[in-house]
Amino acid sequence: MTDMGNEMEDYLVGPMPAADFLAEFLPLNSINTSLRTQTYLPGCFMPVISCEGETVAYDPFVSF
Amino acid sequence: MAITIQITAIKPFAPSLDFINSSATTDRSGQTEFSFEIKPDICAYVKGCKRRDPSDVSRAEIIIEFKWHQSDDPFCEPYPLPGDPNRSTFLRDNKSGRDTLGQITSYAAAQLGSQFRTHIYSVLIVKDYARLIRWDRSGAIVTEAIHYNHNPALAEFFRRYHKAPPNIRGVDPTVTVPTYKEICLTRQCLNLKDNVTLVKMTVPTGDTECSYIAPTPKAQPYTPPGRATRGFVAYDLQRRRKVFVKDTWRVDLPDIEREGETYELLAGAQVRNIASCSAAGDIGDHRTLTQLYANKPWACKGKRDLVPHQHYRLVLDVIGDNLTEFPSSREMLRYMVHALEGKQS
Repeated sequence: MTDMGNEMEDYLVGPMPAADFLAEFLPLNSINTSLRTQTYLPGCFMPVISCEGETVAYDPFVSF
Repeated sequence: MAITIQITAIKPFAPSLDFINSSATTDRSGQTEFSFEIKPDICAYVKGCKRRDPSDVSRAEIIIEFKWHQSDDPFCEPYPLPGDPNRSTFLRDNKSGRDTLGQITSYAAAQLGSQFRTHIYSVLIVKDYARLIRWDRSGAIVTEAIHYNHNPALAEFFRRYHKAPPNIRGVDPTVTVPTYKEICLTRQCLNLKDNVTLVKMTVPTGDTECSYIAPTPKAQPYTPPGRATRGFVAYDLQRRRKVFVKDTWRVDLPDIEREGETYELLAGAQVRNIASCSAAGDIGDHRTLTQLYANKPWACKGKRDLVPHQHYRLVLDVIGDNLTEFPSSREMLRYMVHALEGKQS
């Protein structure tokens, strides 16, 4: 598995600014903006980042 | 029987996706041939898709991997390369980071190899920050760290993915599910068992296109960049016969000829013992994008120049055998003689 990582090293490009990533690959003009979704609230992932370890963070990450 | 935990609360951001905690089981797709375990932490699927829960890379839309220590992050803030101050890197130079890179690369390889996609997205979470990654056959683009508790970019990524049409998600529209009648015809012609899953794919022929039905592919443990050639013994729906379909990402540079054109040249010159190529062509606008970003002001890149690739398919009317499988040495020598005859003519 680590060999795959070593091989991949030469093919990685970054770090791309997140806003550019969204604008380039998931541009608003190409998606169906009429679909309604939740509005983001800062701090909503606090239950995740306050977890004591990785394995207990899976569920809070997706169920805040 | 493993317990499948259906995670529902992220749905407000991406209600068309099911998020499944797959951390306890290995991949169940039956479409990977890796010598190590494929065991993603969370798999996101299109709601209601036919899948083998909880971990099925052949159906996964987005794989999310979790780490809890910064030292496990394969990426870091850019820094000058030791001994080469004109170049910088954003790869963390430690073993655990390289292990994580191998892990997420293997998941991407499994997903791309078992599905028909132009590109895929994955997410790496390192405690309080995340990185979005876009993989294609030229390489992968990685974002800066997104501190997702205060930065909306991660939630926005899922929101937009939920709203995105299939082509933006990387789905190959030239591959579809065959009808029941087509499945029956294919199973009969190719002598396949009832449990073999089939797909229908098109290949351009001049101004039109032909359809072929073949078993679903098995992912091999090769990193995503490259031609990613997959061969299929397939059923030709128009001519009702067995053919060989080659699905590949050809190098898209001006001095590289298309393989179909080479077959055409050889046939025109009446070269002997050349397989008949009945269809070949580029598949739509399926081109890699990673190489276009390698020289952006924010970009650190590897030692190699990234090569553009274009999705391409080719159909041969002759189905070859492996050179390691022949009934007698006489038969093997006959293959060699045919090859030499072709070269001489």
